[in-house]
Amino acid sequence: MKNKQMRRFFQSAAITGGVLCAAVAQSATTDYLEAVRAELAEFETGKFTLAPESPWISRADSGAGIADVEGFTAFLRRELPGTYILFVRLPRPTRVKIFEEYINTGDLGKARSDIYNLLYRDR
Amino acid sequence: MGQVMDSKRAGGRIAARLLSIIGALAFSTAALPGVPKDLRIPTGEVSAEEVAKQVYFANHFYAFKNFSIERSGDTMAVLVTRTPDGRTSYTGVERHLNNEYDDGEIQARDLAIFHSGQSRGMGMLVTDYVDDAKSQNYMVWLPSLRKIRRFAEPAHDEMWGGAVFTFGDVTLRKPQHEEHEIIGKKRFRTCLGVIEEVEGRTMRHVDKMPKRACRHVGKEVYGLKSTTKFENWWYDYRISFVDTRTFADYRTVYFKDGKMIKIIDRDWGLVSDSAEGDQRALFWKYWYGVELDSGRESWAVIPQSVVEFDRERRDSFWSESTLRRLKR
Repeated sequence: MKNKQMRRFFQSAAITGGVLCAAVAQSATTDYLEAVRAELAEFETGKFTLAPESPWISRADSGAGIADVEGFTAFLRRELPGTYILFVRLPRPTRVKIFEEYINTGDLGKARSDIYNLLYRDR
Repeated sequence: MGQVMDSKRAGGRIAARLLSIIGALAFSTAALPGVPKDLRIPTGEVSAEEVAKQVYFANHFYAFKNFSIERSGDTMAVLVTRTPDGRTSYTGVERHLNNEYDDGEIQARDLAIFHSGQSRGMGMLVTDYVDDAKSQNYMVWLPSLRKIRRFAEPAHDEMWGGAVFTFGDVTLRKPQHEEHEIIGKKRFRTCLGVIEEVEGRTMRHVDKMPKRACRHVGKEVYGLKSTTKFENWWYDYRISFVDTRTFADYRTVYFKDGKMIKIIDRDWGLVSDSAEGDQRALFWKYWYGVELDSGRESWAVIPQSVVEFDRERRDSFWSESTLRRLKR
């Protein structure tokens, strides 16, 4: 009897969990479509309108992405603390250059080795 | 006899699926007289046709003599597909493109080797000809049959199972297949799409799947509206967001009867900051696609560590004998 109740509980929990997961996934897709629509609408209206909490807008603290050198610094601090410690010791123009190169290439490995080389090897 | 026919049919099915996978990860090698491999970077005001040609140039890796997505141990490109019921599958692939032909006959050759998934052990060599009227030659090594099969060029709208990219999207569509119009210029504002369930997660072949790419936020893009010339086609027009400097097409949105039906996002990266002195010397870091009516998603990811270009390699590498040497 107890086993039956337990089984029912787990079944209903699994179903609820599944529905919740589906809802989350659906919601995320909706956010993405809203972002795409906002991009398209800007060509017609000249205005970009999207909820500021959208996970498809780059924000330094969201983990969603990196759009400026501050965002890049926050990203390093969160994801690569060792590299961050070295990065913040570089002068700002060098940091900007490394950030811009990362934006063009998307090569984080090269950014890391450049930071290290600029601080130690090239001196 | 029946068994032979069955095995032939199975081979055909496998090859068709293989063709589709390649479409999803392909370097496009289709020829176009109007888009020479030495196409210059435009200066001043650019026409819509010129933008379309430049996009074609970037997508065909014409900035390189040859371009490879190598295999380093188990690291290589991976194509992940997610069906609406939440099932995901993946395929690992190694690819080599050769643009360096000057015999006046061959435009480019493209070799793909599959290392995981249902197509494991298979290989494909695509030959593209300078003569635009001549269709591409597809040669597929089928390990289960231990034979090479030759196929004609696939249909533009052909796609496979879970993958949402068509051959037209990545290999076959040429600028002259559409009419182009620039609808504006603006800053790109949002991050590129990903399959959220696997974003940042551990995945075979790439160690970790990337997070959504937001590096392109703030870059100036053209809105390029391309209306198909094909009748009764699966889309009426598409709008691409094209970088005004590099001609990388970050996003393409497809419309049918005024309704958005499909989106393809592409994360691009320069091979190195000073590569070739050509801002179009780019490679795909990932492709993401979603079909809005079915909800199917595909995500092809290429790790930068296995990208090589302008490497010294004999032409004979792009030949039937390489296919025959493949082991399952």
